[in-house]
Amino acid sequence: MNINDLQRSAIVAMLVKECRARDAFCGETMVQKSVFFLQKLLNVPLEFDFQLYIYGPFSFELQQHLWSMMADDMLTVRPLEYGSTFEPGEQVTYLEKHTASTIAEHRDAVDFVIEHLAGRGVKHLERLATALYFTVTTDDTSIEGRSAKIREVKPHISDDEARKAVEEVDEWRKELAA
Amino acid sequence: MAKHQHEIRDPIHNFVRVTADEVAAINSRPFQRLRHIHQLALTYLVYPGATHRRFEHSLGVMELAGRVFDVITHERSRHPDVELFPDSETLVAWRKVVRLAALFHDLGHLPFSHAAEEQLLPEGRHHEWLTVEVLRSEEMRQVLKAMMPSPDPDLVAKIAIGPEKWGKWFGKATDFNEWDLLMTEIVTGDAFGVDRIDYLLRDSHHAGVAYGRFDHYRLIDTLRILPHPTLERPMIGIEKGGIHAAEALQLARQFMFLQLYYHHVRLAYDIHLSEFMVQWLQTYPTDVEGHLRMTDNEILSEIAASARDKDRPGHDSARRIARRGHFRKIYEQNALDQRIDPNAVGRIAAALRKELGDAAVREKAIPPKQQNIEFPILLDGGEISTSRAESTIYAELKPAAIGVVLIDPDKKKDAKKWLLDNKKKVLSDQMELGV
Repeated sequence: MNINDLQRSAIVAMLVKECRARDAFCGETMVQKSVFFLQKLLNVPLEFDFQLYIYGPFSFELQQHLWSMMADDMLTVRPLEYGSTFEPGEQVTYLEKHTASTIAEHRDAVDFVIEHLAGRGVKHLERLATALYFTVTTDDTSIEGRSAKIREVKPHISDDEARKAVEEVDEWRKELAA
Repeated sequence: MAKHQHEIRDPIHNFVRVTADEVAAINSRPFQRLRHIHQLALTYLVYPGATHRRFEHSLGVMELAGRVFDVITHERSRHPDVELFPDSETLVAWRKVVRLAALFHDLGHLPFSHAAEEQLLPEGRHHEWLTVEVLRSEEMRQVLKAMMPSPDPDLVAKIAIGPEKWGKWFGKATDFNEWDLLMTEIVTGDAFGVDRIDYLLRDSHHAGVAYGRFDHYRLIDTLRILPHPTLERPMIGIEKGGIHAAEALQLARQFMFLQLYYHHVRLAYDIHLSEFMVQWLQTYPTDVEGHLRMTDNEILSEIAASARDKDRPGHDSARRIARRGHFRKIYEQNALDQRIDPNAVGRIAAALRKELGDAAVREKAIPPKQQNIEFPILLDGGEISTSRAESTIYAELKPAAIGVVLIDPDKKKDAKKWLLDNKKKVLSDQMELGV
């Protein structure tokens, strides 16, 4: 399926809406990592181009898309004491009206990601997304191999943290396969 | 005795001070080429004063890069929680790298800057890709090698283009450590990058558009390397006392985009120019020699010839540029219509094409640029806050998206009447957009 920009916006807006509905902080890191999980773990065809960046997988294309959504009042930003969170904008009703079938098709995937990621801090999100990145991009699928890869690009992450992140990602993959 | 410090007069910064090594860099053939690349393409056809070139802009960026580097690395400005400063000898070498990266950041610009970049370069590539190719050429390697100390061309290139583009084309974004990120932020940064500071001031000055001015002296004096309250790495932020200068920079950027960079007549000329260049060149020479041979002069000379001869490629576009026969604005994005349909521009352009034919209609949608950038602010009591928390302007300023529909001047009257009668119907007649 080739997804259009409006459908991409609808899925991102649904993600933000569900996250905020749980009263969880939804900053840019949360959106970036959640979309990465949607694409790579849940196979939602959002087709944003991700690369391994300073804080784990990051898409400049998604960043630009978020700005467009803000310009179109589909998202808004609310400053909080510890950073700024995205919130659904006025035009979300337009999106929901015109992309109802897209939203219905991917609701379960968004719920899964929000259930597993919402409320986690940016450092934890970075570890998890990096673990998923190496899970889908490296040949060595052992827990040790992937943990070592994480440590190689992010020396500030401890062995134990890297290993736990890989194990957590594996758990979710099993949960989805079941 | 040879002079070690040279001064170049400049209308924005009074003097640009350069070392002997930098003079050699300025005298290099790739840098001299920038004397023949207009900073703002054909904007001078709308704002007659805007005839300045990438050459003087690049000198200005280097001057500002040196000033910012000196302010943020000065011992008095250092925040106690930021411990990544190298020793003084290494700092001297870094100052040189950052100034050269600033000087060379535009070497890859095609004729008329951004006008036809998207159409002429291979998909997904931008001028920064050519900047690196030029810096890696034997000619530039020799220029850098002759310096004392001699900077690594790849390090200069990395700092000049930043992690996003470096990661996409030449290596990995993770090739940048925390210090590298700060150094490239001086040149390319969204919040306080000196490229942006110089082009706003310079374009404003030459175009005669006052909106681009702000107190950059105050701004630069209050810049600091600060820990970020949520991110793990330090960033370039500002002391609380500089917040109004920073806000003025943001507003200047917003106004300059709306007033100058995306003026509808300029957008029309950009379209005609890129169509001409594509028809005349077909593909752009992306080898370094081919690139260095192409300047605005070659294009202008061909535009003049093609405008006179209907059998030459690009005749129609050339004629429109040479004889002011540019397409006229028939519709512009506005909040009222956006509320009915966020894609109002696209829908109206499609309807007009159906009515008047593809050749009579052009559409230009500019993706929004981020405005409400988040950076750390050092409060008077020593705490760190953020721009969005401390500034209403940073919290509230929405990215500005621009879209226009342009029409062949011969069809403007018909199009105007048709739009008046049909706009409501076009916008309300929306198809199902779901999967």
